[in-house]
Amino acid sequence: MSHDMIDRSLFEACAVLPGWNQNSRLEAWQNWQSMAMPTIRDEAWKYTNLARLEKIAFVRSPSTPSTLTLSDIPLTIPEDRFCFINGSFNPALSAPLNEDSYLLSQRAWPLVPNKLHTPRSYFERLNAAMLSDGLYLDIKSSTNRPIYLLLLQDKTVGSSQHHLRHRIKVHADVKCEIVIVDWGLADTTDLTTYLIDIELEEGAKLNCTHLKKAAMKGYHIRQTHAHLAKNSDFNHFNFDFGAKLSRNEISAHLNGEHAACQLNGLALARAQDHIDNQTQIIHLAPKTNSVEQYRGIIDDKACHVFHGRVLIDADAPDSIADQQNKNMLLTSTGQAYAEPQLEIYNQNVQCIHGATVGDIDEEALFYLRSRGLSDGIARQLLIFGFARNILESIEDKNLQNELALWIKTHLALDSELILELYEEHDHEDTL
Amino acid sequence: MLTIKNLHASIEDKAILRGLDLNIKPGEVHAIMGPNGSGKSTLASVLAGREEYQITAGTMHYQGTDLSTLTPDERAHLGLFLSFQYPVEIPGVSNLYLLKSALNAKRKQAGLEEMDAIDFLTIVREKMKLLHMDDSYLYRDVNSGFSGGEKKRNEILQLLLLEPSLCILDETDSGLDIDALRIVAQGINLMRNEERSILLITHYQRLLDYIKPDVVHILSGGKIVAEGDYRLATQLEAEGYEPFLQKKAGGD
Repeated sequence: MSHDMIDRSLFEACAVLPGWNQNSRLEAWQNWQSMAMPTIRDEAWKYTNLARLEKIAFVRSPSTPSTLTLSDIPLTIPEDRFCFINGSFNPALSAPLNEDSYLLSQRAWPLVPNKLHTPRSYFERLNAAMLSDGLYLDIKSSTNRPIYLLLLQDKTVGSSQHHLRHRIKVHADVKCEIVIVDWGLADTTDLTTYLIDIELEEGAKLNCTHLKKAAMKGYHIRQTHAHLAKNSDFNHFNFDFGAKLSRNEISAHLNGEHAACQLNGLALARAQDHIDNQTQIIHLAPKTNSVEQYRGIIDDKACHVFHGRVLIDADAPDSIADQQNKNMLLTSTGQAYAEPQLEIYNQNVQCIHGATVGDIDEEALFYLRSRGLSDGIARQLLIFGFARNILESIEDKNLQNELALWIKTHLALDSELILELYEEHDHEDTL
Repeated sequence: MLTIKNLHASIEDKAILRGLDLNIKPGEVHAIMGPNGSGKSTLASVLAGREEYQITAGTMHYQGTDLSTLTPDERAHLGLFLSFQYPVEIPGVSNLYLLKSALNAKRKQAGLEEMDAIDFLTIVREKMKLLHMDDSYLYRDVNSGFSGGEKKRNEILQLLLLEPSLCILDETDSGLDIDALRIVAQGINLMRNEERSILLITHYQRLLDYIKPDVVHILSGGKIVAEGDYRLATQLEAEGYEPFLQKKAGGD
């Protein structure tokens, strides 16, 4: 099997990272080479066609330093941040590294690559072979200040490719918030693969919001795998603003009793975007709880795929799982595929799921217009209202507001309208 | 003043209204009663501008303006308000936001300044008190998870706030228990004045025990078949629709 898209010279140009010997890397490369690229005949890629990707000849990431600055990102970014540009760590834009936050390129990385998640799939193996760097975050004490992880792609010459792998460990009883921002400015056809391993020890709580605004023409493939110990709480919010191909694979393994996860997502697809969300929630211990809510707003000729697997193991009695997927099609040319997949091996559990694909509710539109709102405002209200339910599940109110503005810009909604929706929300808090 | 002449309307090529005539003067309360399928709700929908209905003949004018040329929001700006038989749930949009933007849309149309949040809250709370509604209604999503009675009360709240000049109440009494019916009827009675016209669409006479209409019309087969004062409703309650349906009398 040969893959023209990543030439062997690109692999050979990859730096040798500590904790890796070139043989294991070569093994990863060979493993990847031995695999065929998934096609639409593969169940997991049924609605996402990679055929065009194979025809692209990717080049090395540029060695010239990027001139990107934080002001290129319309988001308030605090001091507690770590920034990668085109797959390389950028110390100038990052907080100092220390014992609790260090790079894969700096020292031997414990537990990499195989401890938590063995690369098996096509893109995981590619990531393992071509990995350039990654951040290890070892969070030992609770903080109210969110940590930002910025994964930026600047403009490059030719089709470049970036592969990063990060690991986040939240120690027992520690509560924290992480915001991951994928921001792409490239106007070329880039490929990025990011693999993020998350480990929550007993009683830990992590709110992790992932915003992705990838480059328009980009192929962006991300895997997030979370492992949850007893009494831990993982809240993941996946906001995807679209790309030529954006694939998010997220898994949460509820390994300990009373572990709970919330996986929420909002896909805002327009033009010819293709957003593919593949989630897995695996209940492996008794009294585990999962809530999942994914929504898609699909405009123009865009497409949103949601495949949500929930598995409740025989060893997970008294568990509760609730999965909802709703899609709003704004045009007749947009597409949405909703595939819930429940596998329940214990009778003593509660499991609810629902999936819908529909247009803007005409009855709701008429109702609002009969109250004197114009057709345009009424539509915007219904679209934003649909997104708002997901936004509201984020605890961080500042982030909620910023995201509301992103959504507003992305969907070209009336800004005053959105601000007012939030003003009134703030009002509620003060009552 | 609402003037409807020989109105014919259909949905998906099925004729529902077949020559309906109706005149409502300022300050009058009219009730339209009729059996299921007689066209009561179609009349309400056509007046409010629901797009699925086609007007195939006849005219409807309000204050001299041809309603059929106006969009639903333009009709609302003209002073028309429809209280829905089945108020729609709108997740993600709070009741407060809907009330405020509806009121401000109307004020803007009338050349008035938008009302600020404090003034607005004062007024809306006053109206809510009349309907025995607590503050939580404001912050809940529009009609989401509301009981049938709560939804109807919410319609009347909008009515009190927007102060339309023509109120069309489609089966407002359905789904209400006696206490809620009394509260809702009180709200509607508060709205009665010399300028405002009210059209009550109802299947049963019980709402008319609380709101005494000036004129009662009986609708059957898409046209008015009988008219009278409030006593017609009482007669209807005693005798049923059957005797009226036998008559071939058109509304005059």
